[in-house]
Amino acid sequence: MDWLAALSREFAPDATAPYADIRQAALRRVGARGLPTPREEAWKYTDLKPYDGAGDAARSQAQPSPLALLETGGPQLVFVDGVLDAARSSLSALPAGVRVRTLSQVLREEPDAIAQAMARYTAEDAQIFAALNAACARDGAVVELAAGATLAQPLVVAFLNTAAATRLFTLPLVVVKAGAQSALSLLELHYGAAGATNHSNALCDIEADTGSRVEHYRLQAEASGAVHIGNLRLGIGRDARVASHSLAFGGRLARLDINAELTAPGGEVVLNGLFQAGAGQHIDHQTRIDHAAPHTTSHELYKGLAGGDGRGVFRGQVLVRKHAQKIAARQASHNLLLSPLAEIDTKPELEIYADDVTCAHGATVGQLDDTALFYLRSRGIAEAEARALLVFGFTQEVVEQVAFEPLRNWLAETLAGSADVPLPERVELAS
Amino acid sequence: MLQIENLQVEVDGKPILRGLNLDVPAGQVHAIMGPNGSGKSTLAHVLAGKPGYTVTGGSVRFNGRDLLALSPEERAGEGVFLAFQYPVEIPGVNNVYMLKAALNGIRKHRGLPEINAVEFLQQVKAKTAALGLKESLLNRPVNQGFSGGEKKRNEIFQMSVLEPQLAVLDETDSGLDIDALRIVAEGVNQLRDPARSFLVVTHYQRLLDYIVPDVVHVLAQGRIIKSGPRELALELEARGYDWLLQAVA
Amino acid sequence: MAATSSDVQSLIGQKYEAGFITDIEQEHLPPGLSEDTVRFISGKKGEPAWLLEWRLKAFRRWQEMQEPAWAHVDYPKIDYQSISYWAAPKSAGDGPKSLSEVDPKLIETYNKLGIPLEEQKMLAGVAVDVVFDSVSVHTTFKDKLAAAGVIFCSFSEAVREHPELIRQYLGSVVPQHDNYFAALNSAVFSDGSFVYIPKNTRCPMELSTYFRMNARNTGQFERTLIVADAGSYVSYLEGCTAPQRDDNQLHAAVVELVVLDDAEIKYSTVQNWYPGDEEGRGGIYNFVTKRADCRGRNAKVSWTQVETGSAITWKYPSCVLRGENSVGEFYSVALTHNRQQADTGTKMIHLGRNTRSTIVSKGISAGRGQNAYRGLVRIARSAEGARNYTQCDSLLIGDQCGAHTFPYVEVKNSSAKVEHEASTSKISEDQLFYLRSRGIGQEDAVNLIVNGFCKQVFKELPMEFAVEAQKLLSVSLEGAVG
Repeated sequence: MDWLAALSREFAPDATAPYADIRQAALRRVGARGLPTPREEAWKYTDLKPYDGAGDAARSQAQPSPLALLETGGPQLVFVDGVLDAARSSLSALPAGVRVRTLSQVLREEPDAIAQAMARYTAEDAQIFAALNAACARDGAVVELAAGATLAQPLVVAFLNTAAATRLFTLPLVVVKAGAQSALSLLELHYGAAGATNHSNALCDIEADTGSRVEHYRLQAEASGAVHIGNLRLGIGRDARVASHSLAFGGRLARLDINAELTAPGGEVVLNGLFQAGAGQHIDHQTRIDHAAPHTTSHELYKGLAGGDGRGVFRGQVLVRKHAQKIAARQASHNLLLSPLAEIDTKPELEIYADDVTCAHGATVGQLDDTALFYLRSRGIAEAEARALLVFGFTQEVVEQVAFEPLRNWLAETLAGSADVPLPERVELAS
Repeated sequence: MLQIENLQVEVDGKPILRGLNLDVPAGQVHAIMGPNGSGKSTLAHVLAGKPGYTVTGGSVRFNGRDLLALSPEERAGEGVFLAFQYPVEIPGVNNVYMLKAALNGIRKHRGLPEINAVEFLQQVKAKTAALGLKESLLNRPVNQGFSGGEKKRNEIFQMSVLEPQLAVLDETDSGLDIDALRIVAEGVNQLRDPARSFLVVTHYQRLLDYIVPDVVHVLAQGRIIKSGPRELALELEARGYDWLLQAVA
Repeated sequence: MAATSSDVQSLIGQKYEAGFITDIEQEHLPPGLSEDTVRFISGKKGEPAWLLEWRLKAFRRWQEMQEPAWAHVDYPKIDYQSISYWAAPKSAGDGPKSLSEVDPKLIETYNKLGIPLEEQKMLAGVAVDVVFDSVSVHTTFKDKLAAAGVIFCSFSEAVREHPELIRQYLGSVVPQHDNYFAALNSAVFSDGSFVYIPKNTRCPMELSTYFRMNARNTGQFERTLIVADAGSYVSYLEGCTAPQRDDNQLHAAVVELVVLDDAEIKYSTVQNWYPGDEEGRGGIYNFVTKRADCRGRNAKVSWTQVETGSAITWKYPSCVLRGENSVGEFYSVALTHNRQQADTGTKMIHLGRNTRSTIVSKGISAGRGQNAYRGLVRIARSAEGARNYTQCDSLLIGDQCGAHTFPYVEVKNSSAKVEHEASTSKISEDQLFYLRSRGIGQEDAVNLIVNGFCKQVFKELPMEFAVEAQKLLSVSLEGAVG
C-alpha cells in the first residue's frame, strides 16, 4: 500500500473549505517528495518502509490505560477515532479569557484564528508529516488564552483510537495561542485500545507570547500495533517559559519531532522526555532547540529505556545563532538497555555560532548498575523487584518534574508495571 | 603609597563608588568594612583593573603613577596583588607553572632577568610549607578540585611568592573556619613589612583579631563615611552599621 | 656508495626513482583524469600488472561515486579534470635558490618555532646541499632498523621489494570504494610509506617524519601502510610543525594500520599545511582517510593528532576493534583560525568482546574559523562488555567563529557502557583577568589557557613533539585575541 496515496484519497482537502488552495498545494508537494528515507540525516535511524501498510492487529496490545486521566473533572476535549466525542468532552469550567474550540468549529466560524499555523505548515520547507497533517486534518483543538488569563487545572485534549475504527489514518491537530502573561497547563493524550492499528499523524503548535507560562504534557500510549508520527512546535516569546514533557510508551513505530524556537530575549524552554521501547517497538525523538535570540536558556533531559528487541532513537540539536550571546544550554540523553536484543542510538548535537555561551551535553548508554542491584538484593529485595526499583529510580528525574499529579501517578504505576512487579507504595531513591 | 581621590565608578550605568577618598601609606594595614552592596568588592576589583567597571571620575595613584591607566598585568608588575574572593579555576594549567609565568612576567616588567628554575622551586617549597599547603596542590591545575580553604590559602601562597607592594585582600576570610583563618592570617602577618601595605576588605571584624589593622574605614553608599583606629571595628561589630548610616544622613 | 647516494637524493626530495631518469622529458602530466592517467602513473612506477588492475578497479568505482556533502564545510566545487595527477618530484631548478627568495612571513614563522636553518631550507623547498647533517643519521638509522628486522621504506620500494606484504594488506583496512576520496587515492596514489614490524619486535626508535624525507613531495595522494605483527610495537610520527610550501590544493591521503595479536601502534600527527591567508584565499584541502584494524586479541591503536593547518580538514582517524580486548584511542586538538574549516573526529567500531575506546577531542575556534567534531561510537551486538568514553570540548575565541559537535552513538549490546560528554564555552573573562592580575600579559594568558585546555591531548604526544605543538598553537593563534 502506498501510504501517501491512500492518505490523500481518504482525506483530500475539501475544495470549498477554507485554506483549500494552500492545503491542496501542500498535499501535492508532499506527494511529489515521497516518504523520507534513511539517507536523510533526520531519518538515519528510522526506516519508514516496513510501516508503509496497515497496522499489525495481531501484535496490538493496549498500553496501561491512561483513561483515568479523563476522570479528573477538569476541562477536556475527547476525540474517538478522529471524531469528537461530545459526551466525554466538557468545557463548562473554563475561566474567563480561556477559549477552547474544535478545529472544525474554527474552520467554520473563524478560519483566521489558525492562519499562522496553516501558513507555517503548508510552506515549502515544512516537515513532510507536519505538512501532511496541515493539509488533511479534519478536527482537533484550538486553544486561545487572552492576555493575563490563567488555566490552572490542566486542559486535556485526548485522541483515542479503537479497534473498531473505520479509517486507518487519524490526523490530530492542536493549535495553542497563549497570550501575554497567560498561564496554561495542557495534556495532549494519544491512546490506542487493544487491537487498534491506526496510523496517527499528529501536529501540535504552541505559541507562547511575552511572559507567558506553558506546561505541556504529551502522553503517547498508542496500541503496540499502531504507527504514531508527531510534530510539535514551540514558539517562545520574550521572557516566556515553555516546558514540554514527552512521555512515549506506545506504537510499533513512534516518532516525534520537536522544534523549540526561542525568538526573543529572556525566553526559556524545558524539554523533558521519557520513552520506553519494548518488544517490537521503535521509538524515535528528534528535538531541535533554536536559540535565535540572546539571553535565552534551554534545558533538555531525555531518559530512554529499551527492552525486548525494542529500539530507542534520540537526536537532540541545539543551535545557537550568530549574535545570540549569553546563551545557556544544557542537554542530556541517558539510556538503559534492558535486554540483549535492545538497541539505542543517540546523537546529541551542538551547533554554535556565538561565543558568549555555556553549552554542554552528555549522553550515556548503559545498563542497570550491578553494584546497586547487588546492594538492593543483599537487603533482601528480589532481583526483579530490585531491577524495577532501579529503572524507576532512573526515570525519577523526569517523572518528578511532572506537576500534574494524576499523570505523575499514572507514570509511576506504568513504570513499575513494565517490570512486571508491584511497586512499593512509597519509594525514596537517592538518584 | 596608594592615594585614591574622589573615585567614582559605575557598573552597567549604575553608580557604585561615589567619590571615594583613601590614603594608604607604606607599611600600613587598612581595613575596609561595610554593609553588603556598599562597594567593597568593586573597590578591590577596580584597583586590580577588572574589566566591566567604568571609572567616571577621580584618580588612583600608586607610588605616584596613575594606576587606572595600566592593564591588570602592568599593575601586578608595579606591585599590586588582589587576593580574590572567589579564586578562579583554570583547568589544565598547573599551579606552579602559572606562578612561574606570573613571576617572570612581573620581573620582565621591572627589567629583571627570568628567575632561575632551581631557585624558584626552592622558594616555592619553603613557602608552601610555611602556609601548611600540601605540596601536591602545587602540581594540580589552578584552584581546580581545591577545597574552599585551600583556594584561599593558595591565594595567600601566591601573594607570598609574588611579594607585592600593595596586597588587596577581598573577603579572604569568607567561608573559612577558624583554623584556616588563623593560617591565612599568619601568612599575611609574616609578609608585613615597612615597605608593604595591605588593604583588607572584610565583612566581619573577626579577621581583624588576627590581622590587626592600623586604620579601619567604613565604606557605605560608595563613600568612606568614617575612619578610625582598630577599635572602630569592634564598635561596628557591637552596634552594626545603622547608627553610622543615620549619622551620615 | 650508490645506495647512499640514492638515500641522499630521496632525503632531500629530489628525483630518487631510477625509473624517472630514463624518461626525464616527461615529468609532468597535463591536467586530466582518465583510465589512461591511471595507466600512466602505474607505468611510470613500473608497477606489476595486479597493482595496475587494482588501481583501475578503484578508478571505475570512483567514477560511479558522489563527492560527499554531509560534512560541515563549505568550498567551491573541485574540478577533478583540472588537476595534474603526476608530477615527478621537483628537481633542484624548480624551488627557490636560497632563503632570501622565500616568503618572509614563512621565515618569520620558522624563527618563532625555533626551527634550525638547515631544516628551514628543506621545508621551504630550497635546494639543500648534499652534505646535509642528517645523511649519516639516516644511514645509521636504516642499519639499526634493518638489524631489528623492521621494514621502513617508500611505498614504491615496498611494491618492488615486498610485493607479498603489499598484496596481502593493501586496501584490506580501507577498501578501494570506502569513500570518494579514498577511491580517488586508490586510483592515482603517487607514493607514501610502508612499515612492517615483525613478530615480538619493539621498533628500536620512533619512526618520525624527520627521517622520512623519502616520502616528502610525493604529494597529494599519499598512501601509508603500517603492519604491526603479533606482539610488536611501533610509534610513528607524521607531519611537521612548520607550514610547508606546497602548490597542491587537494590532498587525499589514505593511511591503513593493521594490528595483530598483542601488537600496538601509536600514530601521532601534527598537521600544519598551509591554511590560506586571512581572507581564506588558498590553503590546502586535507581530505584524509585513516583507519586502523585491530585484528588481533589485545591489539591497541592510539591516534593523536594536532591539526592546526589546512584551509579545510576532513578527517576521521578510526579504529575497527575486531580482536577481543582490543583498545582504540583518539586524542585530538583541532584549531581553526581566520577562515579555516575543520570537520574532524573519529569512528570507534566495536566488534569484539571487551573492546575499549577513549576519545578526547579539543576544538578551538578563532577568527572566522568553523570547527566541527564528528564522531561515531558503534557497539555491535557481538561486542559483549564493550566500553567507550568520549569527551569533547570546544573553546571559542571571538564572536565570528563556530563550534559544532555531532556525535553518533549506536549501541546494540546491552552489556556495553558508553559515555559522551561535551561542552562549549568561550575563554572566560574571569580566567583572563585572574592571570593578568598576576602579571601575565594578554597573549601569554590566552596561550596558557589554551594549552591548559589541550593538555590531555598534548600529554599523549612524544615529548619533543608536544613542545613544538604548543609553540605551534600559540603561533597559529596570533592576533586571535584583540
